[in-house]
Amino acid sequence: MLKAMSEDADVTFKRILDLSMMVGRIMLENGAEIYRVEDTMKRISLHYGIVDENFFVLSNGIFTTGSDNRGKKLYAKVEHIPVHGAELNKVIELNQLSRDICKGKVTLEEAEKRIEEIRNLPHSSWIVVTAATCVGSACFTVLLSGTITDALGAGVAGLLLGLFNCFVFSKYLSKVTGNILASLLVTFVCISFHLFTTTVTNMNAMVAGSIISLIPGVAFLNGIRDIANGDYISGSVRLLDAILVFTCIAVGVGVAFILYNAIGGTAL
Amino acid sequence: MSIPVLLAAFLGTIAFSILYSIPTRYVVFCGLNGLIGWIVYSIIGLYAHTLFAIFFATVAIYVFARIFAVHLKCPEIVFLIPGIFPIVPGAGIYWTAYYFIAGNFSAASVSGTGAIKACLAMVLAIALVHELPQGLFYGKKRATDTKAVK
Repeated sequence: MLKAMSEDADVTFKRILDLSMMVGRIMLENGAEIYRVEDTMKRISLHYGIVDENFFVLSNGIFTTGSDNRGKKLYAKVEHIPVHGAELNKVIELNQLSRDICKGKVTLEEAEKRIEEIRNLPHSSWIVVTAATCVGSACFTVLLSGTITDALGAGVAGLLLGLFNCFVFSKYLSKVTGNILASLLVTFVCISFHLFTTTVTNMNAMVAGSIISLIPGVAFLNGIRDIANGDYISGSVRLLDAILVFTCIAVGVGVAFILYNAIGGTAL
Repeated sequence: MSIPVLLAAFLGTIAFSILYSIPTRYVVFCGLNGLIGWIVYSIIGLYAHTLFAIFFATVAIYVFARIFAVHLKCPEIVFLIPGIFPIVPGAGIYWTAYYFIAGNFSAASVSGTGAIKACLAMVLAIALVHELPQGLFYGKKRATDTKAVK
């Protein structure tokens, strides 16, 4: 009887830390800051009664060790977490879950079930992504003092960019190639729009407005915030990531102009 | 600062928050945050250097992101990321590439350093607002869950 009980405790001990690992993983993948990931993991494991635990979170990995209350069982796990898109709805749901856990509303079984649900939250459909990119590009062109015609052109560029992101970039391309090709595509669309429409267009606003959706907002802001929190390694990795993407965008725009000049286009 | 431009700031921010798959119930607040940032940016931009405009706009965006975060109980990053997009120096990146290819290196370096300075102004503003104590953002709603996750 006693043995069965202790086995049961061992299983629970492992399950709690696995649960924290899973929460940390999903949060980190989807653009939460290091501090929040560590904090949430700590709260969850603490609530379920694990006192001796250590989490070390980097921008692409989590290291966890822990021991149970009697100090007999040890738990150690390292998980590599590749950089991923940013689906902030998952971060929001996990944040809510961690609140509920801390208030004692959720048992371990329920928490495991909810995490599984959060993990399987559907991606935005390609239609939504494309429409959002299209509207976003058009709006930002207006912000950069483009006219309505420019916004229309940027909308077309954004439409193509959204389709490119959904069907080519996210499936086949690496970050560097994908960003270069995406900004190349956008610039080409804007150049052709500029050439083939009779109304005078502000092509600069068009290009600048359409490339904004490529800008790595999450990496940039989280990098700053991680550094402000004292997580220097992760912060600099994320900032490096952001700088890389910024550079790729600039290269893509530049290459588009070089190609345009090479095929003998008139001055823009 | 006309109505269409303000509408564009609002709708554009909403579009970007949808790209980051933020749930519909928060989307309007993201749009509002983008709008606030843009208004601050354009008003201060009229009277002072662009860098000041970017700095204070970022401060406003982050402060409002934290207020929304506290009152809607969700991570502040949800409102911060889409809200900051209207003032991100996307045009600076474009102009740098453009002038560089056109062979106008002095103009390229001017717009390039301009973009970097703008980023630094944002960094400074974020680091500053980051230090403000959480209790400041509760307002009257001095709630019991001060200790809960931000």
